[in-house]
Amino acid sequence: MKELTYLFGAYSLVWLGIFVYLGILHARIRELEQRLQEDE
Amino acid sequence: MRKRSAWLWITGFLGLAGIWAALLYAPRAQWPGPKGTVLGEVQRIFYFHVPLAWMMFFTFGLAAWWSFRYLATRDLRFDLKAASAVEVGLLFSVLAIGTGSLWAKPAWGVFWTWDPRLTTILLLFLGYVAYALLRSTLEDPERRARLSAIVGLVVFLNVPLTYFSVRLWRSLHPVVFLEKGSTVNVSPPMLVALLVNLAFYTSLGLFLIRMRERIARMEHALELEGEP
Repeated sequence: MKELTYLFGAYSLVWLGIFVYLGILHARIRELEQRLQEDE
Repeated sequence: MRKRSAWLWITGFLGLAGIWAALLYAPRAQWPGPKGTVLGEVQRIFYFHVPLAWMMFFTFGLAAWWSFRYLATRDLRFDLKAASAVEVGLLFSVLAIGTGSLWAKPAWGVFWTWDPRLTTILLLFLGYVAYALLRSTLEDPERRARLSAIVGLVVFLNVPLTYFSVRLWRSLHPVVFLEKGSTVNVSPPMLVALLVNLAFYTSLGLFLIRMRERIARMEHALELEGEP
């Protein structure tokens, strides 16, 4: 049981890291696109 | 746009296949734990810890290549590519170190120990953190690109040292691929699960670099227009 906790803890860390980073990138792209459009 | 969405779909499919391969397809392996215990399920961390570490080395390798290309051509596009690769590499470093720690606790009894592999990987990570900090302090794009490229190449010297540390010094960290002629020390189903996950994390890493590069290009365009 303890082993599964470490396994799923590690998996959760990986997916959380990936999705948080993807979210940050996505938000930044939208913000920059908006700013570039405003400049045009 | 269509190409990017196809890439995302393929990456998503590989991600699901990777989870299936790691958790269900790969056999339950025996792994030595502390005080003579035998571990089973926790060994499955191997199927994503190794690809994460591979992607860390690969993205830092790409960053070094693009840094070299920048110094050779003075084309700022290579600087932006290198910086993007370093940022994604830092993400993979954090995940590789984190998953390694969560595997180390049941296998070695501690989350962290000053083992040669762990110490060199921490130094590598801190080296690239220094690279990112340096970039954030320099405003002139040409100067930032030149200094970053030099630092990027110097820090990369730690990559082979980190990789070979388990062979150069006595280390707790296992050597994954023991070369015996052309064979490796993992069974065929384990190798399949590992390769599927390697494909997924490689595809994901390249996708993230492309996304980050797009941001870097837009930031650069705004910088040229004089916006902060």
